[in-house]
Amino acid sequence: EAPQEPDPFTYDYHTLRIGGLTIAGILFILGILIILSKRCRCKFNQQQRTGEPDEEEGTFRSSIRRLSTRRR
Amino acid sequence: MGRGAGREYSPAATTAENGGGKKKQKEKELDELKKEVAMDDHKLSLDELGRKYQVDLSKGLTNQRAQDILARDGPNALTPPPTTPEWVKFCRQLFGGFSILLWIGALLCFLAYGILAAMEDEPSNDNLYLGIVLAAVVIVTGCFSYYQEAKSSKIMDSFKNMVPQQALVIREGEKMQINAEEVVVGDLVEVKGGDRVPADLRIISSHGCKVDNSSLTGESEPQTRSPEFTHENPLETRNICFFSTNCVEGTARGIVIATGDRTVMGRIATLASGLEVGQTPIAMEIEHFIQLITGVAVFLGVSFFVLSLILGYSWLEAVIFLIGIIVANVPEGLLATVTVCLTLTAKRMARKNCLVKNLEAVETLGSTSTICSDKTGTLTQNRMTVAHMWFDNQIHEADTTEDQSGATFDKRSPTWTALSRIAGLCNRAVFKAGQENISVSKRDTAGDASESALLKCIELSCGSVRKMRDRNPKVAEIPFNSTNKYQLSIHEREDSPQSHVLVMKGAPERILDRCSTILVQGKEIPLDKEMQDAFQNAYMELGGLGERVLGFCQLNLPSGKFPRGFKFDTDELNFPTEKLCFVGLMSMIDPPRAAVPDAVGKCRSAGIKVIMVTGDHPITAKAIAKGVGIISEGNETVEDIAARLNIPVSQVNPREAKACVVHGSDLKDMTSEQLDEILRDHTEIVFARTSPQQKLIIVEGCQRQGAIVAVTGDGVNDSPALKKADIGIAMGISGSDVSKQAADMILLDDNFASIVTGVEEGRLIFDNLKKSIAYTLTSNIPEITPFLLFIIANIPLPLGTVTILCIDLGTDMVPAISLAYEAAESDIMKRQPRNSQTDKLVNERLISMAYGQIGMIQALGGFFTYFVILAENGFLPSRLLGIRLDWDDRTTNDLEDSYGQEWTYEQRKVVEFTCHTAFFASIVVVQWADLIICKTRRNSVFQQGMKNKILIFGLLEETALAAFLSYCPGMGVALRMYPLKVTWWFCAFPYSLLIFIYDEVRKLILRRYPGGWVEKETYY
Repeated sequence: EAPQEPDPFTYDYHTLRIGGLTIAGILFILGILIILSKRCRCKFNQQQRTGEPDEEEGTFRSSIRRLSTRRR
Repeated sequence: MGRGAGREYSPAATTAENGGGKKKQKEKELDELKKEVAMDDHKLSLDELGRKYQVDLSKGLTNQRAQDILARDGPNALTPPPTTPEWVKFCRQLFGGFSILLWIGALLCFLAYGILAAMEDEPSNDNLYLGIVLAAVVIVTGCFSYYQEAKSSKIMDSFKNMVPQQALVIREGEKMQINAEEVVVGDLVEVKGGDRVPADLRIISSHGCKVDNSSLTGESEPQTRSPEFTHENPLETRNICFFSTNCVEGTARGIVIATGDRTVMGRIATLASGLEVGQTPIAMEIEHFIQLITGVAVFLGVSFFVLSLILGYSWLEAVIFLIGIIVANVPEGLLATVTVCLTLTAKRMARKNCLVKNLEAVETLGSTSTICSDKTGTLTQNRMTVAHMWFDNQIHEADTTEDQSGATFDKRSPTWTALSRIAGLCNRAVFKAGQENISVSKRDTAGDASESALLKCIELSCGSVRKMRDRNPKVAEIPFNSTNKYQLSIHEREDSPQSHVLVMKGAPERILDRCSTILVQGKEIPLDKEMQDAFQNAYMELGGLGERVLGFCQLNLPSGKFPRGFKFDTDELNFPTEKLCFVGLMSMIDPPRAAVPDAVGKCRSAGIKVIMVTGDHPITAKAIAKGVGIISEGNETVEDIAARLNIPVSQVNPREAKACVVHGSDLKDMTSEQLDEILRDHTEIVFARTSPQQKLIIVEGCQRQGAIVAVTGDGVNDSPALKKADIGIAMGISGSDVSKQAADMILLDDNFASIVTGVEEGRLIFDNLKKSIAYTLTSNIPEITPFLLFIIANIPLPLGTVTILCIDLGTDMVPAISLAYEAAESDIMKRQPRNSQTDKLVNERLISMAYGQIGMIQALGGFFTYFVILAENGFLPSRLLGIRLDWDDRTTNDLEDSYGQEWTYEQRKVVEFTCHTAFFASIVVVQWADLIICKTRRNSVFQQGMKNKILIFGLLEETALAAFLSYCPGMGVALRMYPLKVTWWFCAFPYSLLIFIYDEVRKLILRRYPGGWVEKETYY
């Protein structure tokens, strides 16, 4: 028998569904992975920034110093 | 140090324009509260007092009478401000701002459903479902934000001081400890160092009593309290102690003259809770946004209503269309998006020590253009610290930093040894017990603030003061009093077994008067004119820095005349107190917090004006202002200019001076126009000696200038201003409960610098909300146009209600929220604060970009897919025009397509719903591009990068969701969504690319020609 011509009026919806759902699943997992990878990087950096600005010593002092030198 | 001069706290002129013409009664009460205290108890003699309160001044009230008064007046506690019932708060979340739009949408849907149900036998349920979904969205979002705010108010509650205060009262001649709430008017109360004053007291006797009024007046120096009447003004006179201030040292006995809300503190607290507060800036922005959206919706709705009538639809059908179009314009997902974005920012701010009480305050901080900051405790550390010393004819600096990281000075000089011995011995302050493990500077002390400062300074530099005192036992002492202005004590010397040393400290000029020699490098030399000049210079310089200066001297008493065991008589003075040896000066200040100067600098570069408002003295205030940069280097006040040019102050043009120090007593005489002038003409302003009422007036003045005002403060005295401000910021550690209740935000670490972080976050979220909204609004156009074409071109409906909801509440949500994580495009702390008049959250340009340009391209993409699918199925576009009536007719089961094939109703509907699904998928595809272009408003995405991981997650997730909805088995039944052929996904790709290129080109032109036509018309 000669190979059948593909019928333009039928479409393999079953494979389509499986393919589509697989892609959806892959994308979903990929997305989750990306978020998690961000979390991990965070843990490395967490110690450095605690929200408290670095205490700079002596800003007030130096301004007083400037002030007193000007007065003299 | 400018004491004595202008110590007035005087009635602040009541502002008549305040409050507008609302409730007259309430306003009158408020005005009454705004006036200063009227009280005459301080003028009465003790006998008159006893008669007035019907109390025996030695025995106190009888228990019975105290009970009666308690029953009459109620407990001695501040009434908490009327808390809004929980259900009102909940309803506010449900019906406030944006929710209204959605509710109206939902109602319209139900209305349309009702009309349809009345008209047809089998109405489609779309409108009903849409209405229900809209209502559900509002309710869920409402619950969410209610839950969020409830959570932060729970944190608030944890701040409340749960320990009940105790008070020592004398009733029926017996001393008894009672709960401070049970104290009544007329009670005799005893307070001692360390106590909190339980009510407003008129002092009847005292022993060296000093109180810290800083929570009421902001003045950090303790003040003496004694029975004498010294000042007309009750806030200034010595014989009144105020509720909730602290007694620092000594003891006093007083009669209670007011309790609870009738106390001075209570009146201020009531004033705070009675103030009307305006809308937050973001609420105004959202209102403006709703107006714009409604405008567009009504315009579209009405024009298509008219159009459909012209096209021959029935009147009722036209109404259904009208409602449909209006509802389709409601961005269902936006409410949730905005709420989540604000919540995320609030969380981020809480991590950085800014606790936000209500979500809207998040953005308010970003639009702040003026910060009125309290001095004590906010800018400064609120603890006196030795800042400078003068000995050996040299000024030395002490370490004032919080963590003792600052510089030290040369401690080898024998003069320093002598000075430290005097400071340690002639000092009554002690560390409270059980603090051995805490660093010295953080330990609690009992005693006067300046003595504690000396104690800590000596402990830090010379080791244990207690041991020093043990080695040099005290044999006699004259405590400080205001007539002598010195404190003296005599000790046995450790280094010489037979003799004593007399040490004295006090006001420098008084100490110098008693001295004939001065210690230089450990050698006594005569105090000549030259040395006196040197002393004067040092004294002036330290005083000029706003510091409190103390002088120290000593005398080694000869062992022949004063052997061990000699009876020193402090009343008869049988020992010399003249011709002493001057040792040096020590000066103290409440030093600024380390991070403040930096933070003030950042505020300045961010275009935020920082104004200091304090109850403290002008010289101290000015010194601190200069120290932290509120008055920047090189800027002079009118007085400075006058002093430099040697001309009278009146001849200086006030406009030449950028900086300005305003005294509270001057402020009281000013009209509001004069105040406006000051606020306008000077960039660097310090208000000193202000009363709580005046703080309120200053805030109102700034608001009249159109500024968005943030007020920081910790005391009860700040609370009216905190409430009136656009955003009130209270201190989490040192702040009083009243101030925290009045505030919108709380700095958990009391650090002014945290405000800057808050401002940054606030500005960022404003920018990012714009992007989020632009993104969300864009997809509105491809959602509405199908319906419009359905009406006017009579084609089968290209996109249904279900799929619209899938976009708005499904695929668009995560990407829209992810924009809240977007990093700033440029340094947002380098630009001016946003002008609330011109820089709107949503403006016409944003709408025109989203609706008119990107949205239109998206709609084209969607329709292209729609026509491709129908054509593949045999319906060429030309066949579709006007087909609607037959298409939707259930009885027509032989509808012919372009090729003559016949379609039943159910077959047609499967194709139609496949089109809906494909249209939906196309919108997802074009929204990819939209999301990427919405990342930036000016920069190219290539400059911005794709570092926002949440955004990438959003892209992947929306695609996954779309694929899932299309391919999951059973969707055909549940949501009527059908699987799409692979090729159909790609139909919208060119349009997606087009959007990206179009917008990149637009932004390129925008950057190339700043201020050009493109910027004027399209930059949102």
